[in-house]
Amino acid sequence: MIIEINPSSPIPIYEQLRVQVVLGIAAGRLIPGEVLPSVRSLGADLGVNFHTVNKAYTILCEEGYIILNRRQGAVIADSISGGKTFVSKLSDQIVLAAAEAVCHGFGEDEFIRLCRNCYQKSKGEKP
Amino acid sequence: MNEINLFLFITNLSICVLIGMLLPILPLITRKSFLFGVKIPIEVQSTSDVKGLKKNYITVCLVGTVVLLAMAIVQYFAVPDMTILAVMYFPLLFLALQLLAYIPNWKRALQLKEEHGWTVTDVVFADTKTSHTRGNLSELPWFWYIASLILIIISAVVALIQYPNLPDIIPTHWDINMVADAWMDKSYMTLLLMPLINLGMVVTIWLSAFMFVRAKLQIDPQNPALSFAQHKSYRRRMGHSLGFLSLGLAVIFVILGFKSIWPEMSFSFSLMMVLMLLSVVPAIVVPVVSGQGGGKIKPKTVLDETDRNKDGRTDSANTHGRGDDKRWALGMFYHNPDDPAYIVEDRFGSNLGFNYSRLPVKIGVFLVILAIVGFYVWFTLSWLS
Repeated sequence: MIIEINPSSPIPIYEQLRVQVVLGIAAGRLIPGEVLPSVRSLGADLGVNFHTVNKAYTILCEEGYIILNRRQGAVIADSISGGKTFVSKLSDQIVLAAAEAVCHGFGEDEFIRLCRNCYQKSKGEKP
Repeated sequence: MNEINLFLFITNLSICVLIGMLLPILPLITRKSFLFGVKIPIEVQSTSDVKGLKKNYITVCLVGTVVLLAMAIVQYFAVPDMTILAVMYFPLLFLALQLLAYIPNWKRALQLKEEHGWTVTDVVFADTKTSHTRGNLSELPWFWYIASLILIIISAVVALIQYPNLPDIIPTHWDINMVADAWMDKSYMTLLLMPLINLGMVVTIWLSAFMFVRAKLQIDPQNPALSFAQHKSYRRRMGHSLGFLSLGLAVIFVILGFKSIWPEMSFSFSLMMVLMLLSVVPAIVVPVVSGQGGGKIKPKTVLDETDRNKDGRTDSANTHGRGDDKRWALGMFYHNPDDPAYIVEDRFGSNLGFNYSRLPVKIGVFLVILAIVGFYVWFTLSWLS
């Protein structure tokens, strides 16, 4: 998968990296068991500090998307389940999105339809 | 003595002509996303402003080359004994000429970018797959280096076996007619000099081939798959042309080594020159034909790969290139402490450069400069006295 980073964006680079990996897993561009580049190698490819890459990997590991092991480095996890903490985190995110939609005058159906489109899109399906 | 001076003079003129031809083509073989070390949108390459800068640079280079050639000729006829120093110092004069031609255009390019508001995105790319394979030493064509090493070992072994049968002085240098003009007392060191120099050259060439394998080449965001295929092809071509150079030099040195042992062996000077030229040709032609990082190569297999990689290639980012303009001193020297890469693509010419913020690079560059300056000072002083 091609990872794309914009160093001059206001979004921190480690966050951009995290988003790219999550999007990649959802769309099946990164498959379970696939080995990600080493921190140093990816840092050198992108021209960013390897501490930044390390930070992204650590967060992804805490969130259960990847497994960090000593032999292979970062590997995409076989099964990803965040449990109850994930559900509450996700609902927090949706609450904000829903609130913004309400403010902008979206109807409930309109909002749900948008959510469905986005869900299908992130799985790589045509809505 | 006169013949040696003539030989040195011809060498000097050839070097001058070679560099003089190389300098003006540098902006033409650089990636299209750069103008004198400044990152610009590819579309503006065809504007008259940009063409004007290049014309300006080429004119200064050509005029300077003519002036330097005239100086070389005047020097030879005025003070012929200084020709050896001329061979050493004329390349430095060319370096000064290049800076003279380059720096004003670099400044002007920065101004143009500002005036016209040319914007380029800073987006950078990496493939999660090729990152593994990059820097893989199995990409190096080891065959050439092993063959060169075998030749060096053979010449050293032959020299050692023949050692007891040799006279007390042995020739170590030959003139244009392949008649010996320099001798040294027989010793193991003298006899092993040629294989040792040869080994040094092979190691140097191997190191530059290693640089090409390890370098972080630039990806075209419009078509990353194409870039990766080009990189692969480029590395293979560079690896082979450098390996070929290594083996060619090894052959020449083995012949010279044998000539020390069996002076009656006949090899013409022109044959040597032809061998020499043949070995260098691929290393000069390949980078020009392939373009920077293989940008001019059109790989056949890329079409299937393009399909595999059609993910999220959305934006209209119209450039590729590492780091911001501010990170490139004079548009030539990359200094970015955040970037872990040691070897990166140059922004001017089709070569590779270093990330000068890395400590090993600093130490290495310092040692090389020290060695060169030391050699120049030592040689100049000892020659003058």
